[in-house]
Amino acid sequence: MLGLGIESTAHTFSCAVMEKKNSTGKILSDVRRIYRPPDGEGIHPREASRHHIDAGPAVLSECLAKAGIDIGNLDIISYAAGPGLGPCLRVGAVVARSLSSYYKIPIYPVNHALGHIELGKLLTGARNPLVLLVSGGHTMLLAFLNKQWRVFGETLDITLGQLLDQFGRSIGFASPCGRDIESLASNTSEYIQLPYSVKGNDVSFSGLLSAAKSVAKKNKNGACFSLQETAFAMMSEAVERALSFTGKKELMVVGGVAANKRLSEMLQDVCKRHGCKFFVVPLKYAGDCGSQICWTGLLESQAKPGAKMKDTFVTQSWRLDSVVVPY
Amino acid sequence: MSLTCRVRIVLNDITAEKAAAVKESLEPDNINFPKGLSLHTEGIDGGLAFIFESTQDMKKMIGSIDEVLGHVQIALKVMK
Repeated sequence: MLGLGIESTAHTFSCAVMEKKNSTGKILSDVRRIYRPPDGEGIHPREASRHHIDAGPAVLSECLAKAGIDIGNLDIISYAAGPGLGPCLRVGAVVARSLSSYYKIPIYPVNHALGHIELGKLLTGARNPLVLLVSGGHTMLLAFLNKQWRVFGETLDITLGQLLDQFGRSIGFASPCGRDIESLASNTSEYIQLPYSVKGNDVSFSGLLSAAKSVAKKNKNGACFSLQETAFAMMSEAVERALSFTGKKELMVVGGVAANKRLSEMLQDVCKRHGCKFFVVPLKYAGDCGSQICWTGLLESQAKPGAKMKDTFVTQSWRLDSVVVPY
Repeated sequence: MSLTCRVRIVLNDITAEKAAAVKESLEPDNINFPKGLSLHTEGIDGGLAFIFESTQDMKKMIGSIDEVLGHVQIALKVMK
């Protein structure tokens, strides 16, 4: 079975073609173009959507060419229906609907967060993990029970990705800033005390952000190091408690911040203490990509028919714990 | 003074199949237009017509036309 996945929730426009045989999946192509705001500025939804409109046709052509197929070979089309930025979501949905309508191919709206998890499971081999989803749009700890992902901790304000990006932009980096912050942090081991806020099993990063910005005015390296150590220690504490509570023997980290090596180091230490296997999504597929959407659409197509065109929605807010997983 | 205005944009020289696909691809998102603004899409001979109507803020209509035409363009480009 061949699927096309379209991702356009935020700064990335991506198309991917995957092949599914029984429970195995193979990525035949995954092409992306990323909207880059000016240095020091955040993503502007309309500007990002204009980028996607300009880049979309070429991304699709390249994706199909790399996979060596024509549109007519596709069995399904899936697109990220949310959560995300409205103008960006609508571009991906329009592309998916146009192709679906014109070529008569079943269409599947997919939850973006679920896409991160399903592709992560496929690529890492994790079977029943506690999931840490950390990106610009999410900071959540999740475990699967009775056909739904249940939340065992999340951010109370900004996400871990937003913390890193907003801090990074304040010191002049361009989004996404995680790699630049990690690089500066590696220059020192000088820890400066910063606010550490874990409430129950939820985290709060806004106070940490303000304090880190203040420290960075005098000491950028120290601020980067201390920001990472504090934020990741908060996440590690929440993960450790969730592992104890759920009794899971696997931890899988997905989302753009999963690319951070220091975060992985700290979580691996947690896993060692709990006799738990550690999985992290491969770097290439940590950020937003069409493969996440494609694979989830292929899984959903096992259990239900494509959506009617009038029901192909987009929604800026769509919590993962409200999604029933039918397969 | 009336702020009501109507803009009709006609897309010519496309097949009925492509016109139907463009119409179908846009309609699901056209339900939450700002108050006082509406879009109606209709198939015409050899093309498609978009009728925007605004009764309040004309600037909002310009933004909506910009976005819808962007969607039309990408829809037509991907349906080769």
